[in-house]
Amino acid sequence: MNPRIVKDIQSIFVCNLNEFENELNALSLIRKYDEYTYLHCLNVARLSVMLGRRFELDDPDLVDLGWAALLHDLGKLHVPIHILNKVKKFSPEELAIMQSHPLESLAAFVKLQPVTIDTINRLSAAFEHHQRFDLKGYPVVQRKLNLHPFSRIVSVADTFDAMTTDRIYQRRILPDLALRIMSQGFGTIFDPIVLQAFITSMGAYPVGSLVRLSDQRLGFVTGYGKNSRVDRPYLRIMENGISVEEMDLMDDRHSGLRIMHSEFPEDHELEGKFQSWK
Amino acid sequence: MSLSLQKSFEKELLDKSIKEVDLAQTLITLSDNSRIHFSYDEAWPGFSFLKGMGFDRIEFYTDDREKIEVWADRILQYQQDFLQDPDYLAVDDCHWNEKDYHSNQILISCHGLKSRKFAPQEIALDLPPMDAPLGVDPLAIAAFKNEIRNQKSEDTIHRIQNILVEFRAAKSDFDPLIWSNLVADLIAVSLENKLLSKASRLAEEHKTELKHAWDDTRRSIRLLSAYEPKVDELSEWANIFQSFNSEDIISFLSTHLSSKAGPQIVKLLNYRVQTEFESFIEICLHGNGAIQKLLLQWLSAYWKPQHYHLILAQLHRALKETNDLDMINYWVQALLRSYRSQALEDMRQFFSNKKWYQGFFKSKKNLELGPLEQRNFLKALSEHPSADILRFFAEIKQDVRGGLADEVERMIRSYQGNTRS
Repeated sequence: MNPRIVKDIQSIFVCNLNEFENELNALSLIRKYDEYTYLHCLNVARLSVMLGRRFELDDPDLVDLGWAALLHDLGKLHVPIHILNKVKKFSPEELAIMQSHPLESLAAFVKLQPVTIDTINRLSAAFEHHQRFDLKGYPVVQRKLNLHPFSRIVSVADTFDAMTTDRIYQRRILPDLALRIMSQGFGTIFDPIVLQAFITSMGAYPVGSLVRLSDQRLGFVTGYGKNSRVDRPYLRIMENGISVEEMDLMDDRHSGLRIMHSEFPEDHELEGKFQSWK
Repeated sequence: MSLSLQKSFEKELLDKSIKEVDLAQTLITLSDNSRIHFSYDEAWPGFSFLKGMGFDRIEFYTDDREKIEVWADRILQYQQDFLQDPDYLAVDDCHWNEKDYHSNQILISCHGLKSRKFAPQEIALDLPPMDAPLGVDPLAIAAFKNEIRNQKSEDTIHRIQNILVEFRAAKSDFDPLIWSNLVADLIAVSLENKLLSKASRLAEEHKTELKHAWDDTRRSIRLLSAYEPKVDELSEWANIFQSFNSEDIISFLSTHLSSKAGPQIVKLLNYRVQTEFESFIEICLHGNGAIQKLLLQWLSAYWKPQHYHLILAQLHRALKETNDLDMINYWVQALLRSYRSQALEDMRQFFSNKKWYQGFFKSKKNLELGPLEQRNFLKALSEHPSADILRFFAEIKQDVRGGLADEVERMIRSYQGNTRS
């Protein structure tokens, strides 16, 4: 077992890894093939499991969900690396290859191990995570069967991570903006219950966001209280790169203040600042 | 115009047209140069998307509502495409600006798209925690949770079956092995869930594809051991393995008899021999020694006169080539079964010297055996005591010499002793 992969998985969920030897091997193949895809899979798994916890899923279900998310892009091993990391527009042929990855994931799963009642959850997410809630995505399906619940969770986590991660050709989208954009897929691309749970448990301004207040001050979102509204979190106000005040926007003293929008920390030389407090 | 754009900016657009939208400062400048702040939560959703894509300003050079609508709808379509798969929207190839069709004059222009040569930060596992209060109806959460908990095996089988159908429709050029493995797994899951009829139906529907599945030992064992059929289910169950070649089942038995599938392989072979004995006779007559030895035990009841000459040749060969008394015994039994009277006549030729005319005309094959082979044959034959065998011993006694003659004598006495007692 690769110690780095073991450590990465254990930071997301706890399971007896000896029981998942095939899955571990598959994950290590992803890591060898493309580091970005590997990290994306870890992020999607982390988000999916966090969401699963908000749904109060049992531990075995969380493990299943975690693996479903970790291996959802297994089929990308069959996409040539020059296509996978292409900066410019895909040709129709390249797009077809890219969009075949859910089917390739399915094929890889079948090769990896026999399909059982237990493994079907993992298999479903790999096959269905781009099918959209209204089943108008890909692979195009002829028989309309509701997406597996895990597929609906992985789909939301997958999109959020893809949007909020820097790529060579595209700067990341700020998390709060990503959530706003994602809300436009409510009930069409995403399961409304899953998306609502995702957005409300992230908060309108996810923890770590740098936000501009209506009085023009900048602050990092540090958390939410039990009674916080999704758009009124705890903040740490920043001035000249230094934290100068802690603030609960739910406090009556700040009722006149509101968050205008979020900004990139690196545009204010504040990158890494929030992480350093954790 | 998209409903949300119309709703959000109805008032402003009706009274005064928009001149500019500053996405970074969340400011809208109207045609009279007045400015109003907007919130992304309430604004037209396309603004969030455009900002997310890296634009910071939109300039409007038209107040033609139709043109604005065309542009707005296109932007929202891009947004949907992006949401479906954020990796595939080719930002450079999108038409972010709106131009006049005739004059090519820019009517709406979007500014500030960040450089495509952006240097990304190091990718890190740094995700926001989900600890904000969950604003979802508890009943909806409970329903979702129940959906996961109450996944029935029938639903799962239906799901795999659905995937199977889609898989075939979408990828006709797929490796047939993967396809057949998927079919095999679906059947195995059905059997494991005691859905024999479903499994049998599936096997019938996909018998061509299933053929490749038997190359995969793990799956073959799983399929065979997945269900223990009752006597009245045997035919339906065996039907699942229709595409499993009989010769392969035989060799599978020899290598996996001690596996958990062992008892079912025997059951399947037994059923096959009963229903397809002719083909098994063919396999037996043309197979290697190990296969023959296995099948001869099963086939003893099925030998017919038409098989006689082939069996005789096999027996003769076995006598010449092996000292395996069991094997010789099985062939003797088969020969007697197939055409007893002819067998007793022909077996005499194992002992009698060639007649002068046989050598002359060469009309018959010389079947005479050496002393050791004769001894082996007699031992085998003595396992099938009966009156005509006794007569046979008596007849060939004159054709054998020395120790072998004594043995024949002993066999005769032993038989007579048995019948008296």
